[in-house]
Amino acid sequence: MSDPAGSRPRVLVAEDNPVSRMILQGQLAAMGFDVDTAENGVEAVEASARNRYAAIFLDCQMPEMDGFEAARRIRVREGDGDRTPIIAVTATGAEDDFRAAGMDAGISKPVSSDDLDAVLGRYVESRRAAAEPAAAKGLFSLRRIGERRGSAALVRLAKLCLRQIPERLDSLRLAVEESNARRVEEDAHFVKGTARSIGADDFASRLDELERSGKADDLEEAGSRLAAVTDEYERLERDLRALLAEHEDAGDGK
Amino acid sequence: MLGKDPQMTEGKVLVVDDNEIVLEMVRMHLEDRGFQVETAQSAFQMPQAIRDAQPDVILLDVKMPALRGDKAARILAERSFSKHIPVVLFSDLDEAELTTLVRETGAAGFVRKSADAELLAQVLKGHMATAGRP
Repeated sequence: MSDPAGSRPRVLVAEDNPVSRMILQGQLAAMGFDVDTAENGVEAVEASARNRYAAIFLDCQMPEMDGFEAARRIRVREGDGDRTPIIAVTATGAEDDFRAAGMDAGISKPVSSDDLDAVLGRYVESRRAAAEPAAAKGLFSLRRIGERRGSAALVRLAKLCLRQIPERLDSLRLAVEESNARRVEEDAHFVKGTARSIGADDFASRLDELERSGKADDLEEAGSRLAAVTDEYERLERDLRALLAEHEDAGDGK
Repeated sequence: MLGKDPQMTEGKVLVVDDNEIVLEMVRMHLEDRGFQVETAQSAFQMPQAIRDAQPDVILLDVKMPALRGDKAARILAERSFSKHIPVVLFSDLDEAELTTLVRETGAAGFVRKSADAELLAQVLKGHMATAGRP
């Protein structure tokens, strides 16, 4: 097979689990790569001898030959020549021996697009520009809905947030006052789900901390973390109202 | 196996989550990527929703009040009206915990709530495409 000069960069995904393989293949294709697949290490080593890849993703645990052994063999064949970036794909992210096998980086399954961007941006020449730090991510998902669905959808969701979150924060405050650790955990978890889904990442992080305090039955810590949650919500509320004002105006124009 | 529906969608997903905003956000993200989406706000609504919607895959929140998603997944894996439908657990538990839960409940897999919309779509597509295979 020829070197795909001038066409889309080509990567190899070696993974025995068909679901995991399809997922990673689909993500990489959506990012603009041509994707070859292999079902075990033997096939991966063979494919890498036939093609020049921009990167090779090797699942660590595969039948026939695992990712570690495949990486070792690819490195032996490369010798002092060009070194293909090899990314270890692990089930837990805890396997650290991938470097010893000659792999460059490790990511855990299922692989988030952020992780893929980061690792490709670091090791694949053609992705460097794409990996520039993203612009302010605040309320990223909610803004995206506005872009794709129009202002009415965004306005409806922002209003839902402005109603739901304060209600649950009141419930949280009461739970802390009543020393009800279980409800602190549940309420914090619930609001965290909202925060995460609209892309309010800082707010979600504060709520995650509070949820942990509840889970650990540490009500003193929960009290102080509640203050941080409340502060962060004030910021979020301002952002939501600003976004709402912007889109209610846009909605009027339609 | 059932054929694709006439509108040529990516497939039909039943999303179950107690949080209305999460449901709405997920619904819009998935619809934008070509899925048909039905929603239910508690595990108790699932049997009816499954019969009505005949989904290709179920995205199931784990931490819900009254009936947790992992318990519900166990039940779905045993019932004749649902055992052929892959269930994907939707949670922010860590990966090791979710791997264990998948094994214990008979779910097809998991996706973390921090996943971006593209990953979520790919995971659901992957499970639909391989449903029923050994």
